[in-house]
Amino acid sequence: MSVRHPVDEGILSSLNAFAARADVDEVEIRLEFNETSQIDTLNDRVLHQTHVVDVGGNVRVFANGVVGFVHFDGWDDIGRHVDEAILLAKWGQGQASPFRMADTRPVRMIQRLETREDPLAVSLENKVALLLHYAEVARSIHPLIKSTTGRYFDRYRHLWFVNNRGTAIEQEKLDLGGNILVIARDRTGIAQRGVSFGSSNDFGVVRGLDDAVCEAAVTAVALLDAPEIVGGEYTVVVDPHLAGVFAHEAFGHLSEADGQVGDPGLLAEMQIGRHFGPANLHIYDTGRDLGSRGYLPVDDEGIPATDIDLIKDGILVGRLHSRETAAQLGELPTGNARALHYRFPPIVRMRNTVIAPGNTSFEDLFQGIEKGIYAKGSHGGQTNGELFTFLAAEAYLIENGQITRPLRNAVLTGNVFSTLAQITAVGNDFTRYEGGGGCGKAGQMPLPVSHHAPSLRIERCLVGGRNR
Amino acid sequence: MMGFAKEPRPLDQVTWRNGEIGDATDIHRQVWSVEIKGGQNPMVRHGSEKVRAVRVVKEGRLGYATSRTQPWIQLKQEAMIAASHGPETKMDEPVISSRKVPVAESQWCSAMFQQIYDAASALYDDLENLDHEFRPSVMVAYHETATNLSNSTGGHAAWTHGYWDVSAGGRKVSGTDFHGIAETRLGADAIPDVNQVGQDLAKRFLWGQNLQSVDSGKYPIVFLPPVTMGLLASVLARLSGPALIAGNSPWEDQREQPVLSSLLSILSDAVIPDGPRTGPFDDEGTATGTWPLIEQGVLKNFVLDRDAARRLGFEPLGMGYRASPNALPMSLPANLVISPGMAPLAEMLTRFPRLLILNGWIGGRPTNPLRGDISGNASDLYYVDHGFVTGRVKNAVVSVNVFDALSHQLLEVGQEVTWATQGMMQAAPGKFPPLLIDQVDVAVRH
Repeated sequence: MSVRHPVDEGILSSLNAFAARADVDEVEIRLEFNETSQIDTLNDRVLHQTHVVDVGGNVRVFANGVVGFVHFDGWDDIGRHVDEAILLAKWGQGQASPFRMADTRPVRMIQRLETREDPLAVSLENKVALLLHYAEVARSIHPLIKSTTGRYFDRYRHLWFVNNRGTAIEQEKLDLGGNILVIARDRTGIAQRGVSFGSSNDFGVVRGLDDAVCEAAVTAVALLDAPEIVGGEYTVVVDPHLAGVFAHEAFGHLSEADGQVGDPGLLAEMQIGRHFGPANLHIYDTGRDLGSRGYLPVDDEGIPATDIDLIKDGILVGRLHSRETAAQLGELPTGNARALHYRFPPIVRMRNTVIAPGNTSFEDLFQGIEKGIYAKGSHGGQTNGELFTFLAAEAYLIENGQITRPLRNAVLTGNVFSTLAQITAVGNDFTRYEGGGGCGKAGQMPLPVSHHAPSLRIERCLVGGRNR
Repeated sequence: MMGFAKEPRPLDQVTWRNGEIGDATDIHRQVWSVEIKGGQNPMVRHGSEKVRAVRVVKEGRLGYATSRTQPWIQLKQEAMIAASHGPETKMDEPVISSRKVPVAESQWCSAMFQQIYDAASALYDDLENLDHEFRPSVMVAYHETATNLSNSTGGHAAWTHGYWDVSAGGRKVSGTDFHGIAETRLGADAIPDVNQVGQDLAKRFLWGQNLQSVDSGKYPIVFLPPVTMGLLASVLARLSGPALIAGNSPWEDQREQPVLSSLLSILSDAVIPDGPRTGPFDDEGTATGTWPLIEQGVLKNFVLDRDAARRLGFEPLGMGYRASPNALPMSLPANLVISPGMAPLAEMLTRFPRLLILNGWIGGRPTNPLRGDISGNASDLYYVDHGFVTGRVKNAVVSVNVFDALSHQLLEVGQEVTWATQGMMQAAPGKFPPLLIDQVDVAVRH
């Protein structure tokens, strides 16, 4: 592992000098030092291991309603990159009424990384040994466990950011995560189940996963014989993990204001004050949850994190903003402008999207369901704003209020607007789930996000599947 | 757009001793683009990435080091250190032909920015005129990658490959109905015809103006390229190195056996002019070509990088590509191509009195790629009555098993091929014709 660059207070002053001399509406300069390690294992051996150091930055300029954006590797010739970004912005032809960035108070801060167990202090050998140990745990469960793959990554980022409004920020960030994927195979089929983990400050989340890996192996074997779900409408109970993905896919993306600006039809639908869900539905987005992968005390435009209520008491009360979208809609920036890497400009993204707990016990969520689906875990999801899909990792048939047998290929879909209104119970089993995946938008993937939630009961959910 | 030069740039700082195995690769990737989206400031963009990567095999273990700034000598030392505790590998190095290869000069000139801006503006204006509530989105870009590679066999190759990319579409929201459309075109030597892109989008916008109600059931569906890529994810999973090495692929012993419909031929094509992965070598320096993966339904070749090929006892065919510039090459196809059939799309639409066209599939990816079950919320689904599109179908979930769909359910392969660009979740760029698949399950909520 290479030596990290020492903190250099002079970097911010140098960048400030470049920003100050630029004769444009807005200029931002970002430098980054990124150090990423990744390990991939298959059964008892390492498949790949990489250690990558990225050093580079970007310049974003707003001039007369045009954005010039330049990204580059290395830290040489920053003045030339600023000049190029200005040239690109001034070269483009802006709009008659250019959109400005929201004014903000200058922020000057240095944020050091604070870890519980620092992954950079754990040797590569120990990281590999943990992944191989979990493969052995899975293999020992059942002879039909055909293979176990392990994936682990950690990414340390050291960033310097200035703009011509007086903001100057130095930040250290950490993101780590991964998964253990257990695959069972017999003569008739293949089934898989995984364990995922993630954190922004603690390698400890990689430890102590034996029980979870055992459960994944048992489930994978059980899913081998599971019949495919018959497509149709069902009452569905989703566990906290899947409920979090639901909040992210079904509502979080719709709340991102860069999808709303310039769209009169959508803005009319997303009027603050609109009734959206049951009275006990409370969804918010926060960057202040220390340790979660969505932890973001200050965003990539230098805006400090705030908690943003999106739905409170079932009513739409807020949306997620960058400085640009906030200015357009006459609202305040929310600290949601994020860039995956210096190759990208910041866009509006979620951080940790949370459904607050309700008061229904887990058992009561199933009451009165004659035939339904209990869906657990997630293989991800997707939305186009109106429609969403999420892929459950496990599914079980509910018959007369009881979970009876496993099913495979559980894909839950719906219309955002109608499905939120069909949430009829919010569980009291709030869970802080942290996975090793990430969110994708506009080519920027995987961005670390989190979703914390309780179980939910949703009526009339459309479930995919072939009719036999 | 392929560049040629008389002499490749030497990587003379990386030297290889007798017995050493390894390679050094210098990648310079650039993109110039203009993006115009309704309600946002237009963005003019230039990005440059310069990545150096060294792979070393020492005592059967792989060491890898990559950086955007470090000197070559230091990188090679880091790779040697990494190899001492690296993963076991069977990777070897190809002998690179001494013939002159296409190489190394950038084709970019600043006048191309004006072409990009003009094309983006013209297309944006066209789309803005579709409807006063339509929110257009247009991106026109030129991508170029210069690769310079040397290896321990003394081989040295350098080449530059560029292509144009037009991605456009937009959305009209009426109440809670989102009507979204999108198209992508790639070009080898010039910006694709944006007038044609605008016309195609206008046609699709008109198709969707009317909402059409259908019942749940089984339908013949024409799958267009954006959703075909979703189907091929499962095919690739069964063909690719990792699944084969792990013993997870049901096709591990099916070479030269029929595995899909005889109507279907799938290629890894590194020669097609406008392909993002077109080039004389893959990212490991192995000479490329056009290789059948599935030929008339028969499994011909697996998708293997050099390590996977050697482990499984095959000759490497040039299917080792990096998912991103500083990632290790892995088992990935070049450009994924389905050979076109004879029928124009308009004819395919007359094969049944009533059928559906699927062009967008929210979440259309498998929960278990090797098994191939896919369900997705159809976001761009049209109803066709006696050859005429009569409207857009909503609130419908389309479900298939990929291996059933591409074997006994596949009825016809269409004539017109178009690109489905490599999205965030996809392994390769693809160029596909329409596929007519029968008896597809559609669950509809009214």
